[in-house]
Amino acid sequence: MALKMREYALLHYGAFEDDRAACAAANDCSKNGIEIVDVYGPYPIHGIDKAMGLKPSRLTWACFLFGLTSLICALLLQYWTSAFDWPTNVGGKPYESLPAFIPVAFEMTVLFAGLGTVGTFLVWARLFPGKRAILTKARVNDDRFVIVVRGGMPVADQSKLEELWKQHGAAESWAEHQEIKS
Amino acid sequence: MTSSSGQNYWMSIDSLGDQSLETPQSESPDGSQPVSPESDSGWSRRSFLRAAGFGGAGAVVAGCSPAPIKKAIPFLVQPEEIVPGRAYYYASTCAGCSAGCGMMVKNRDGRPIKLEGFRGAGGTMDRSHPVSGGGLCSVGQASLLGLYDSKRFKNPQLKGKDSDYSKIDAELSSRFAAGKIWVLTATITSPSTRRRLEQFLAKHPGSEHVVYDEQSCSALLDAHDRAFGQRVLPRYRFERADVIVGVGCDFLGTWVSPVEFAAGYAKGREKNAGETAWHAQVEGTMSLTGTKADLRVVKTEREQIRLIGTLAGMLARRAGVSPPQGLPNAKPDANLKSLEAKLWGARGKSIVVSGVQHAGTQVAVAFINDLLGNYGQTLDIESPSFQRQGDDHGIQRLTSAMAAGGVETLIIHDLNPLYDLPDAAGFAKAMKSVGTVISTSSAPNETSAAATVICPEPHFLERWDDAIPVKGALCLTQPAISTTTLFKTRSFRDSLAAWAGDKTDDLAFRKAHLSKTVDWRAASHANFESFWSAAVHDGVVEMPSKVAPLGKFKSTALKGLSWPSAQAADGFEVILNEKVGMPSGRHAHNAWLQELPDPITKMSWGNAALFGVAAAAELRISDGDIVAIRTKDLVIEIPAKAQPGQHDDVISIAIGYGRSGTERFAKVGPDWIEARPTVAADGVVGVNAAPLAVWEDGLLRRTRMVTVEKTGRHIDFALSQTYDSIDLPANTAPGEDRRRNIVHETTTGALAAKGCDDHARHRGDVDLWTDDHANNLPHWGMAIDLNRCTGCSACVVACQVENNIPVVGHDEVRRRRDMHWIRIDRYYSGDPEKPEDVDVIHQPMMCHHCDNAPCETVCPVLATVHSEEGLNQQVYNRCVGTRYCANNCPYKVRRFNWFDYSREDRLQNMVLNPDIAVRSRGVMEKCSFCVQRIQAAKNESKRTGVEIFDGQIQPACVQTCPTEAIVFGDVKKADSAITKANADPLHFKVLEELNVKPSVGYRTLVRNRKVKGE
Amino acid sequence: MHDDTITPPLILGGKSNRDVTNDIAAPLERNPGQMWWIAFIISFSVMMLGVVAVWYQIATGIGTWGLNKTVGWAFDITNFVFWVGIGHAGTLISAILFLLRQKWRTSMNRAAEAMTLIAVICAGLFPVIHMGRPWLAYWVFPYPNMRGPLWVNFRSPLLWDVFAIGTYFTISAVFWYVGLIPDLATMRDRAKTVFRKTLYRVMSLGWSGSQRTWWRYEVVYLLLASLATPLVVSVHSVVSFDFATAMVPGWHTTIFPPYFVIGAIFSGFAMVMSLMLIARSALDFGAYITQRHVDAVCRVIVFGSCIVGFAYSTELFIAWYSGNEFEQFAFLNRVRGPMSWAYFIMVSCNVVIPQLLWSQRVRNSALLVFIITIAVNIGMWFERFVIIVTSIHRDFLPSSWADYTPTLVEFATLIGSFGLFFTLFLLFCRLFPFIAASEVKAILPRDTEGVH
Repeated sequence: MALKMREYALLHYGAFEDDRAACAAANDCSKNGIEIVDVYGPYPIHGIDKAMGLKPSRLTWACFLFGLTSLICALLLQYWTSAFDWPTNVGGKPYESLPAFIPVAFEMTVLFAGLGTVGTFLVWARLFPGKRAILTKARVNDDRFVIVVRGGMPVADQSKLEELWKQHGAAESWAEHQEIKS
Repeated sequence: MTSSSGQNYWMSIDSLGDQSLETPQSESPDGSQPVSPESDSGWSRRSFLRAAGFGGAGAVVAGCSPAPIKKAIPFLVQPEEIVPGRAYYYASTCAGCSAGCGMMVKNRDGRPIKLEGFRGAGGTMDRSHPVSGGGLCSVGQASLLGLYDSKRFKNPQLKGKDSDYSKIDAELSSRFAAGKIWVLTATITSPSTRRRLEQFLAKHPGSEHVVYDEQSCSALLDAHDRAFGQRVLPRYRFERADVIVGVGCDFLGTWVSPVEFAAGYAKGREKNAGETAWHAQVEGTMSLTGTKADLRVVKTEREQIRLIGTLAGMLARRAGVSPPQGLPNAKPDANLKSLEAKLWGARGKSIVVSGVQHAGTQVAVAFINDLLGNYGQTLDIESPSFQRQGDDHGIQRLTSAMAAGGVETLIIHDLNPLYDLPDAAGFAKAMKSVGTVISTSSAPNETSAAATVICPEPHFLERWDDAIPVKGALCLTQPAISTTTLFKTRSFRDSLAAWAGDKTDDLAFRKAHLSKTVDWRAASHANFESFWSAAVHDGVVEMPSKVAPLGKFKSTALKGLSWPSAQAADGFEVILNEKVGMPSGRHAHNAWLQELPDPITKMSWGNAALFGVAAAAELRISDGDIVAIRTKDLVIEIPAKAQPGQHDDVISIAIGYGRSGTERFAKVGPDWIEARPTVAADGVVGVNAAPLAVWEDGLLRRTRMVTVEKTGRHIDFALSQTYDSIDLPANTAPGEDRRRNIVHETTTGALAAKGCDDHARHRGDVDLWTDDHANNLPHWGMAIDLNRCTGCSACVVACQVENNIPVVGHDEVRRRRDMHWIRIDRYYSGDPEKPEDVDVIHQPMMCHHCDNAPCETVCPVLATVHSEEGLNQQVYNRCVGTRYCANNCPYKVRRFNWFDYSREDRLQNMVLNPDIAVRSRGVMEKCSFCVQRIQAAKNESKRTGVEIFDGQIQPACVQTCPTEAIVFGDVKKADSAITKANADPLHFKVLEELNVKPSVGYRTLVRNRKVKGE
Repeated sequence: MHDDTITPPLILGGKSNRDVTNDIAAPLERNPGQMWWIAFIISFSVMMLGVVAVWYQIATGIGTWGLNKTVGWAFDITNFVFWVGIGHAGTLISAILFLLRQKWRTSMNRAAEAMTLIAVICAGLFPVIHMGRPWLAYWVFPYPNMRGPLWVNFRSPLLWDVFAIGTYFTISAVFWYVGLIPDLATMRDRAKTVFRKTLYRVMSLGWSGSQRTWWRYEVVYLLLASLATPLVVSVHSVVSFDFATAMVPGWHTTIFPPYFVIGAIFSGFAMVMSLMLIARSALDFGAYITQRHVDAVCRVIVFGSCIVGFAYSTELFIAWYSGNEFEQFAFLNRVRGPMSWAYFIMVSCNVVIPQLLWSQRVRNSALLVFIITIAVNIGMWFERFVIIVTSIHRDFLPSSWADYTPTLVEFATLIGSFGLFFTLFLLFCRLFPFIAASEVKAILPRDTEGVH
């Protein structure tokens, strides 16, 4: 039986008051080959994606697929119930009255596209009720931007990091061991 | 159901063996072998369960011990001929009034659930009753409810306490001996009852019999007595007349024999276009008959009388006869001239008829008819009518005799004098001196309250009876309920027999008497038994009557008659009239009739003092204002209403309201925070106007001069229609022509000139989609002839009975939530400046079963869908009650169950049709073309293999229509009556331009005039 | 970029991120004031009045409403359309203005979305209780059953409503919630009481402001916005189909979908404005809801008013131009018939009064603006009432023409729905950040030069 080993790593944190400063700092880090684990903040920082190596999200595709599927299902449901399962003469209208089926088909499309997208987002972003949030003391949801950098780097880099924090006016910086979730 | 094909209608003659007739309990229909299986097993299961419940309930109520239905054991001893869930039909005779119309009693599980118009023997649907043809009026239809009236006397009463007949008879035998006996009855058309009465009178020498009708024709009878020495009514043969002049006489609605007259009238109007009979109506207020008139002459009754007198003189002069002395001689106006000309032009083919209770008038009318040679032609006096026999002089003799203390015992049968006599108070006072008052009233009323002894009469569906309403027609009534009677009632005849000490069984007595008096050999029967069986089986036998010598008109007849002066006294002339649904107080306890909207005023649950439109405006009276109507000796407070087509000097008030016994309706209708009671402040429905009538030289005059003042109080009427005109309101009408083109109307003149205007019949057969519902099943349709329709509303009640339609009460009707599936729209048309001479349109309106039904498309849950046979089906169980369908219905024929309408009277629930679900709260309902009858007919033809013939399926409205105005059938059949009707160039569909493709159409209304509005 | 000298900044008072957080959290963290309690008690008791009315009506029968066999709909569907309309502003502000990059929306989108949700709840109530048998309302859903299976009628506009409203409510709720998550995290980090701690921890789904999540989050928000945008247009169009696809003259009108949508936005913005003006003074958000916002909304209202007025006149013109006597009568009856008073209220409140907003001086007076927006709400309620009742109370057959008088039960239900609305809204003010803090922070005017 394999004993589950908890893996710890040393992480360096730099907290900034200003999103533009944080952005600049992050870019410098990546220029200097310092790997950025993540950046936390109260709102999205535009222009930091390259530094963090973020790729365009594939959520748009998820949305499209959900929409398409539900559109087809909605139409099939209406045709089947109205014209095949129990065809009923309603006001002398044809059994297959497509124009009348459009509103419901549309609404179903929007509904499931929306729900599906959000669902996918929550799964991909690993957000769920009761999940423990991190850095709750660091005011990252208030007014601070915290850049997290993986430690265990050469001493040279470490000192560079220190001055880089200073140079960009980090409010504070610290390092601590953090359990690594894989 | 009714439509089960004809030859199965009848009890077979053999089954009516003597044995089955002699034992009293098997006098019930169960004793005779029933033949018509109503429907297939699918129905009978449910029906049986229902029947079980009701049978139980019936037993319970009859036993007066409230027990839960589940405890009852239905048919513990089941009569073997009765198959649960099958309907059996018995030919019988309606006793709703004295007209004696034929009818079919639809019997289910040993109880009658529907009265139907008469249908001839042999399975053809022919409407061959010698009196009524095949129709039944609203009153006849509704009289079924009286049988299940839980407020009836359940026991005979002695001095206000329940008793039994042996005690009563013992008690009475002594009292009869005590002194003079007077018997006061309404018209008796039953020969055997008359015989029994004669026996009784003979047994007690010195006793007297007085006949009195609340709708008296005394003057008319007297007139024929004076003129021809025969105190009878002639039979009015409207079908034979080319010119009809009615004077103050609502013969299509309420007078003597409306069904008979309406049928004849319709036939008379059915000649080919331009040739139809011409009808002029002289009257003071708008009567049902007046609504059909080609020429309406609006006159006060005084003017009517003088008009008749003048007319008599004019015709006499024209005939070269010296006009009798003393006739009034007014200056003839254009109308009078045209009347005279038309009448003279139609000698022998015309009818002048008047309902005015005035001796001179009636003699003058007889004189005119004699002059025109109408007797023997349009007025049949060889086989006269016995439908009215009342003698107004008699009851006055009785009153004075009572006042003089000369009356020891008074027997009052089938009458309520303390309610409908003008001087009821005086009569009551005089009655105090009478030792014993015996009433046969079946339910409590004013008279029974004052009676010492009450021997309640059974309902006519509980007893055997016979009638000869017109000479040569013997009509039989047979019991149609499985128990002999629901309550401890005893027929008047049996009472008389008991009091006369005659022990012979009623059946034996009747047969003996009829075999002697009726000329049964003439009806070509080998022996009396076969005649009797035939009579019971067919419900009626016609015997060619011996021709009585027609007396010559005695010219002395007109001598010494008083005529009103040319000058009008000041004040208003009140005219008491009758509503079609409430001809007298007799049926005031009938919820169906109370709720039936009057075809003219559209008012239910009450009556009103109707004023001319201009008069009302002048007095600043708006509808519902309570006015005080004053004569020198009494005041009557009654709500007022303006009535188009009424003379401005006339106030007309319907009688039959304000009767005690209507307190029972206090709780009718749903109970909720804003509900208002159905009865008026004084606890009864409407106001009794009878006191306004007067005795005038021996006759009961329904008119007198009154003054009016406002009381400042106001009530809201229960009106089922509040916008009366076919024209749109002036301020919101789009164009010059304000008429909304939903009723096509033309005149014979216009027709002759240019035929029917075809632009009115545009065919909208364009569809956006292809019809993928085609099939070769029948497609049901209906066509209504607006010329034949008189608006009599028989169909409305028939539908209500057939389809278990609830009674909702005054407040709900006022809120426009009446539930009738078929309504009759009444529109006024004509010059708004001259409200006196408006035209009236009756348009029956029910579900049109549109092929492109707007209601179906909008229902979210498929609760209303289209059947393969073109029916628009309402699925009660599926309905969630969004009311979207009703909003989207252009004909507004959908009815919604706003509440759970009470069905607490268990006995009354026995009238429910087991084939129809009783709708729960919150679901939509509407006309179904009586789909249950269609189904029954189809099942029947499946069972017997006999194909459904055209006209076999008759929805309740079609079946009962006295004038055959409605045609129903398969529009896909090339030769069906409905197909023919639809092909008629005068046929039109309402709102055809909407292209909803209705299955109901109408025949253009043709007025017999030269040009519109003439 | 902002140049404060030209246009005033969206957020006044040079707020820092911290200030924003504090300001927005303040109302939630301090105890509810007297005003709040009074307001809450009033709206709650009014709501209870409605509850009693609805209970009575369901127990006794729909007959306790003043309807009859001619006028089958009146208050019920009027209220329904009215509340759905109110809802629209929320979605419009949060979705369409978002796509249009209208930054001023951030001060009010949160509240507006909440209003949308609550309004749609109020709206959804009426189609259910207006049924004769509300307990069977679930039959409108196409679920497999033992009745055949008997499905539903997909041709019925009422069924379209079911789906439209259902979708609209769900998507709006999701949109609102997704927007709320970061602020919930903020509140979670500050929360003191156990209740709030747990509430926010559960609801914030462990959000910790990671830029990776923000990166996806922005995409989701954009997608939702683009999905909600067609909804704004479709929902009221579908609602208008209830009338447009019916035969009743005055209902059967092709102009209805756009007419209803603009009407909805019009009334919705009016309601948003009313609420914002109250909130601004009650929660003292003067710095966040500024005159710029008031002006912006007022412009939308004036615009809506003009379009609505145009729609009214188009209706009349088309009726005349159609040459259809029923159509013409229907509109003459509206303007001059027995219910012309309602038409008069509608026109004056919707078309005439809002024109005052052209004047800057009127717009500067919060009181006047408030009164005008209330007038618009009244007017828009009457618009629906006029459309529904005056059309059916006199349609094709004069014999069936009938008048309509509402009963106490109907009034109680109407007032009750307002009670429900304000009760829920007051609770929202207490439990959730009234303004989208994270979005406001993103658009704060920066003191230093540079782009953001």
